[in-house]
Amino acid sequence: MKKVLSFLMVVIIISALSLPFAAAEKGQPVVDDAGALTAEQVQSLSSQLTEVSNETGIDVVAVTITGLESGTMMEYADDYYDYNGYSEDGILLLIATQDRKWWISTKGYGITAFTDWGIQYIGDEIKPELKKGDWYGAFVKYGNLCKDFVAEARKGKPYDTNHKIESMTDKLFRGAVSLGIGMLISLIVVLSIRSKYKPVRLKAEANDYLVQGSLKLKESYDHFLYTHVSRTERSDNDSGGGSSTHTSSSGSSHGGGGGSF
Amino acid sequence: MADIFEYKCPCCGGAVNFDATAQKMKCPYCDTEFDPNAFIKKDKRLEEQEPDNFKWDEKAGQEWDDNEEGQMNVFVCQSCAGEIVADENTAATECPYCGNPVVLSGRLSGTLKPDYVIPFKHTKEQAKDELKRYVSSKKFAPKKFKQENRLEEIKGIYVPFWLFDSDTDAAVSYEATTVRTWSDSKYNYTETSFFDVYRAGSMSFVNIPCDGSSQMPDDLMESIEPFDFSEAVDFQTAYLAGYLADKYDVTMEDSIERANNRVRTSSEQVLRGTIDYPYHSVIAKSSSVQITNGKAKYALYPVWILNTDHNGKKYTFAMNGQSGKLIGDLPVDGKKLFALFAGLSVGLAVIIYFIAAFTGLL
Repeated sequence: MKKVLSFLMVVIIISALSLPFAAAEKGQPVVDDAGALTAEQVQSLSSQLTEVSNETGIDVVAVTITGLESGTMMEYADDYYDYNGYSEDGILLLIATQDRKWWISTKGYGITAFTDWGIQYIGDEIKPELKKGDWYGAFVKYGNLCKDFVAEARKGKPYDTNHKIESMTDKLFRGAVSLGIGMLISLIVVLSIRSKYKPVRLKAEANDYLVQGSLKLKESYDHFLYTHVSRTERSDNDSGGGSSTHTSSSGSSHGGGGGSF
Repeated sequence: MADIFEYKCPCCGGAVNFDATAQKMKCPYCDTEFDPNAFIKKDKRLEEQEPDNFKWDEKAGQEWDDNEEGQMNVFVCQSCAGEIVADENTAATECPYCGNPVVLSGRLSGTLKPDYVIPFKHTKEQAKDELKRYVSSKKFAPKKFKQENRLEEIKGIYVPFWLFDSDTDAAVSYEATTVRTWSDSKYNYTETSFFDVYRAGSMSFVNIPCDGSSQMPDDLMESIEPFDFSEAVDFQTAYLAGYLADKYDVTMEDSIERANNRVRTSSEQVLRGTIDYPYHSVIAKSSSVQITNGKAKYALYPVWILNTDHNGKKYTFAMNGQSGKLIGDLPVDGKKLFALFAGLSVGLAVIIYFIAAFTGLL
């Protein structure tokens, strides 16, 4: 009986201890350490990123700092993610407003969904806003892109070098080529119809008047001459660039990439 | 000088026609039918006027060069004494006054007498119906053409044809290839094997028809082929009654090159057909075709010519009077065709766009 009581005590204590701990585990989606965003912007961005997190099933985090005195953007982003109670699957965009650098760190499913190509793509997409100092606009764009990227990855094929997000130019190009092929086929169809309206022409052959069975083959052979082998290098379109990973100070595996603006 | 000739009904004296449906001579007045052979006696008499001693080796042209000088192209109808004007090649026509069919027998006797004739099997009405069906089946003909196309003239003509028999010795060498592709992790391979293929053989062609009338367009006549020679009968002028007929004005010598060209193409096609290995490509490198021409025959083949008029433009159709095959060039509605082109282009483009997007090809 005493043993049962003491066991219960331990359970209660552990639960009591873990309660605040659990609360701490829930990291904030928006951390504006640089003070670059207004309170309203933090508010609306938080609700947007929370929504994206709920939808995608991974944590989507936005962090601002002014700059770093020591260490790299990669180390800071990885550690920030690891030590602030975010889940095992996620993505974090770190912007250093005065150093004018950005870094994206991914973890777990985030590594799968955001390939090296994908991270650079997001960086390129938000660069115009970053250059203008429109931090809020950059984060909004980042949130929307995250939604797209994870949705595509859940379909089975993350955006990568072999499965790029389509730009308008790509779509226009495909449209033009499709139209060209369509017109070519239609032209052949139309010309063949037209030729049916002009059926009067000289006959090239006299096959109707061949005496059946009159063909006598006198000589007939098929001689093999030679073989020519040509080879072309395969363009490897099957696999994309994928995601490269490294280990952070906490020992967990991260993907990531960044640049300056 | 050519004689003018009518076939009279022994019962009522009316002028009789050859009836395509009954395949007999038929009097349009009393409906009496006769076998064309019943008139054979009359035909015999015709032939006696100029003995039947034709040889194709002889220059047929010489004879009617003489004729041409004194060629009288005006004949007197035996029924109504009206004047019938016919051009120098007409061998059968009808009197413009009384409508009686007449045969200008002198134009088809002697060296000019055909060896065979394929009698008409399709009537004027069938030809008209076939034209209607032909035009209405063409969806891209202008609507106006379908509605306003007027049949101006319909003529049943026995067209003179030269029939050539040819034996050929043909030899063709080809370069043929087979292609095999495979790939490993680094490369795609294409292996092309080359073969020297040779075929030599002989074959025979019979009764290749060549239009012997300069008035009939060659392409139109070749488009309504084939004619089935097995249904040809020995020529009798009685078959011409009720139809028009021309005598040849293109000589055998002038026609034979056309026949030989067709034989050459056919010989090559037949030899090509004996290559049964599934090569990926077969290209003829050199070919030689020796043609030995046998004797040529002279025959009259039945053709319906239908002339129509639309917006002042003439359209000519021809129907094979034996098989019923009708052919002729038609105008095309450019707007309809363009609408099809535009619609099809867009439709295909959309489909191709999505297929490309789905497969990631573009």
